[in-house]
Amino acid sequence: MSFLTLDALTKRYGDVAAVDDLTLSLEQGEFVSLLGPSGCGKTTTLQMIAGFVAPSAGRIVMDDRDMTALAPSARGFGIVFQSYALFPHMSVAENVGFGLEMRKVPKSERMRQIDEALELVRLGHLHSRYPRELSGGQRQRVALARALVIKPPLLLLDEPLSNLDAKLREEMQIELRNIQRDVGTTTLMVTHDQGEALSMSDRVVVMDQGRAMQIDDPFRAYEEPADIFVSTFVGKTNLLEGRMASNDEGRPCVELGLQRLEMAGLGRVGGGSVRLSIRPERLEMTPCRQGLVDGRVQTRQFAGDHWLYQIDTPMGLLLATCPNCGPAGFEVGDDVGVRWNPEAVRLLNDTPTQTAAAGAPL
Amino acid sequence: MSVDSRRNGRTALVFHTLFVIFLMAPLVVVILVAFTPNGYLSYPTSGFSLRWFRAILDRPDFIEAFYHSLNLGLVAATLATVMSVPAALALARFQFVGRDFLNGLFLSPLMIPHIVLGVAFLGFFSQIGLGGTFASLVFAHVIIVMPYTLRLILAAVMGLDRETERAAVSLGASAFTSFRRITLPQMLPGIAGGWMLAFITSFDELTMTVFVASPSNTTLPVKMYNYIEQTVDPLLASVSTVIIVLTVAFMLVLDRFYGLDRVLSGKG
Amino acid sequence: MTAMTIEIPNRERATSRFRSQRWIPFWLSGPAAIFFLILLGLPLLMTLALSFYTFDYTQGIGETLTVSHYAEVLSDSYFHEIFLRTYAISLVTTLLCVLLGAPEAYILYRMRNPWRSIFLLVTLGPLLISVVVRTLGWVLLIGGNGLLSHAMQALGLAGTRGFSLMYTHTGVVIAMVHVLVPFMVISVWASLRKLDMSTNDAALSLGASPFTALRRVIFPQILPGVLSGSLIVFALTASYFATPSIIGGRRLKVVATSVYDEYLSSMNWPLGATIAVVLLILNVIIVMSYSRWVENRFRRTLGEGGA
Repeated sequence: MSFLTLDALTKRYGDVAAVDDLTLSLEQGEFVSLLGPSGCGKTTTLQMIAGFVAPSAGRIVMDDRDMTALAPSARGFGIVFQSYALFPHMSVAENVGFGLEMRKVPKSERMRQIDEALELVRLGHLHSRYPRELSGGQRQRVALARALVIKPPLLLLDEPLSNLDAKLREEMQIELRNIQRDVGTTTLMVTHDQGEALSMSDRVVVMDQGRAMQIDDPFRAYEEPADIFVSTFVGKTNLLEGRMASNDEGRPCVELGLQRLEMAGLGRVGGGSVRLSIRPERLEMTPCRQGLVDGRVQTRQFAGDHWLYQIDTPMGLLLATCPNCGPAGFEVGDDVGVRWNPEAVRLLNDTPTQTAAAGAPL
Repeated sequence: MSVDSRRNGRTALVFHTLFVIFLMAPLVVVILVAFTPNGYLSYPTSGFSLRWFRAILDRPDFIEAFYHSLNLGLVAATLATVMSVPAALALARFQFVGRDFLNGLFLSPLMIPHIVLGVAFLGFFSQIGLGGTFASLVFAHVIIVMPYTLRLILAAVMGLDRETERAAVSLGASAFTSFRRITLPQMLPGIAGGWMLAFITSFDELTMTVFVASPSNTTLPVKMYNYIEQTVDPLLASVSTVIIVLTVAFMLVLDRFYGLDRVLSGKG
Repeated sequence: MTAMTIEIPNRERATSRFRSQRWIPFWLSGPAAIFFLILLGLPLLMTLALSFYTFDYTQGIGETLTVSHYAEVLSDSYFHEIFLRTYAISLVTTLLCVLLGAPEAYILYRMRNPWRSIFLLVTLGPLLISVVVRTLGWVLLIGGNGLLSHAMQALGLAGTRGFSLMYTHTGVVIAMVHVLVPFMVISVWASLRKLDMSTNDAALSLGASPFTALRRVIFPQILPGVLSGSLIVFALTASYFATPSIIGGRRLKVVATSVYDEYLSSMNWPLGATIAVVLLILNVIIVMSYSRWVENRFRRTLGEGGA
């Protein structure tokens, strides 16, 4: 039995479904991210769970209790808002203590818990500061302490790191995940940053147009994208077109360049062409005529730890990365070959199906 | 180059000096004349005297008018603020039929000349039997000061991060607690700024009040206007000096508290 | 099946919440709305009605309706002169306020703190000081026994009888500019707060002289403030009472003082109401047509800042 269940959750505004029939289960202590572009319904989902938006249909069940109709103040979830929503007229300690005050925790006990929560986010020394006197990262931690101090069964994070600069964001990713592991609070995070979602979560829900396109652990979401949307939104990819054929034994296979690929799931496709995906780091550059397809280097970018090539080939423009181990091998204008391992090629569904939508926990 | 281009040149500073002299001259003259030792309008060339300030104490009618103005300002500003807070919440947070009409209605006293409001109130209050009463002064002043309170409180409501209210509710606060502990404290600077601007506007108002006031219920500006109509003597200067000093003190508080340019341009 | 049973209570809850929320704005704004409709709407309507009643100096306000007051105000050259004088004073006052207030606002903007805050306070502060007090200052300055007169006498520019600007157009305009120029400064200041001074540097870097940069780059950006400030100053001057009354006196009647006289001296309320209604209508026409002109002329370049 899972800890939190979203059962066919739907929110319609007029004819538009902001969230469409979303089913998701979270285990106790799990960290799950809702990942998608803006307008995909991830924030609406979070707000329905928080109780700020009433669902048009579906249920929110926690520990066998139906929370769907419960007032937001009665749910007891900890929420970290995108703007942090710190109370500007209250000190850090007053902010953190607000939830305890609402729960009528006696003052001395309140003080102890405030100190504990601020210690947890390493802000014990900023006790009596006001929000406007804090840096962005410090505000973020206060917001986290304020949400955690009430010991919520569920922590909701709404784009928690989007207002921080890149370096601080990476530090906070690690710290946030460590704190979450320490306190063991089941956490649902909304983010549009795929790097953030992949690095922090136990599972990722990739959403588009109100629907969950794939629910998987980060590695599988990246390695086995369910469809074109997921493969392009999560990481960079090369989308290729393969032609359906049959091999010598008469089994269906895909022709891609000079390669014939036998893949699972081809039986469903029928004839014509199929969409395939290969990640840029799975492409290997070779001297001309030694790869599966030939092309010419059109651009080359240096990105510190790797090189990024655009190669013009008969299959289209291919994106390839290779790790920076010494000077670059190829120049712009060079004729090169491109090679890949058949296992690196993924077959994509054109139509959205929820391959792992049942959300089988790990 | 860029630093230089942002500095004022000599011509600009000369202009600025003349401008400030132009603005300050009448006020300085009033204050100087108030200290004259002579019994007639003159500058204190032969020495400073407080006789015209002592003279104020012999004029209970001026003192009474001052108290009327003070009471009127307090009551009118408070009433206008009390009505503006819910009205601002309605206008800022709800889409409803008649919203634009109400917004226009509440701000319309800014567009209507005070002389027109004055004759309108004179006719209305004498018709309903309230002519010359303190209540009629209060009603009329609430109408003219409410645009000021409403504008500043509206700006405060609009500038408020609504997620703080959601945060309070998510932490277990009821709607009422969230309003009292989170919303209202954040609106407070706007409410206080609006109240103060309303008070000073009411305290200074002459044009409309001339029509509504009566000999028994008169305000200090009306009293002074009627006095000037008859004679100009140093008593007016000493009363004016008192008003200037009080207003400047009030203004410094308002500026410290809210920023005078923000209050006067009606922006949050 | 389960979806059905789930959906119904949800929809009920949503609509009941909606139903109760629907009346909230009316409860919130109701008291103020009723207050304004009764205490502002009724008096204005009654004034309009009053302007159509007959009047007799012996019997007072009559029972019958007439448009004779409007005919009188619109045809009598006495009233033409008053209206023309009022709007002429307004126009000159507005122009002077632009010429003084806009540069001053820009100079203030280029100052650094603490000077900027101090002089902003000095410039805007007079707005809070009673108009009667400020006008009294001008009486003491430009009156027959005033500082100006003494100075002129000392310089030998005036005879022994002194020099007075009381009861002159010049005197009224000077005092009006003094009373209203802070409105121009605050209006231009609001525009300046949105100004990006690096546009000035950009113009200079492209070879513009400081004056050209000011004229071609800065001025167009603060024009919305100048335009809205002009409207405020013009509309206020056109209906101003205290200053023209004290400095202009009976000799230089403007619209507001003539309303006052009809009401409180002649006791001819219907005629006073008529003048007030005409003033209100003219003001509304001027404000609306000016706003429309500004909007049409500058909509593209100035956007929402135009009003």
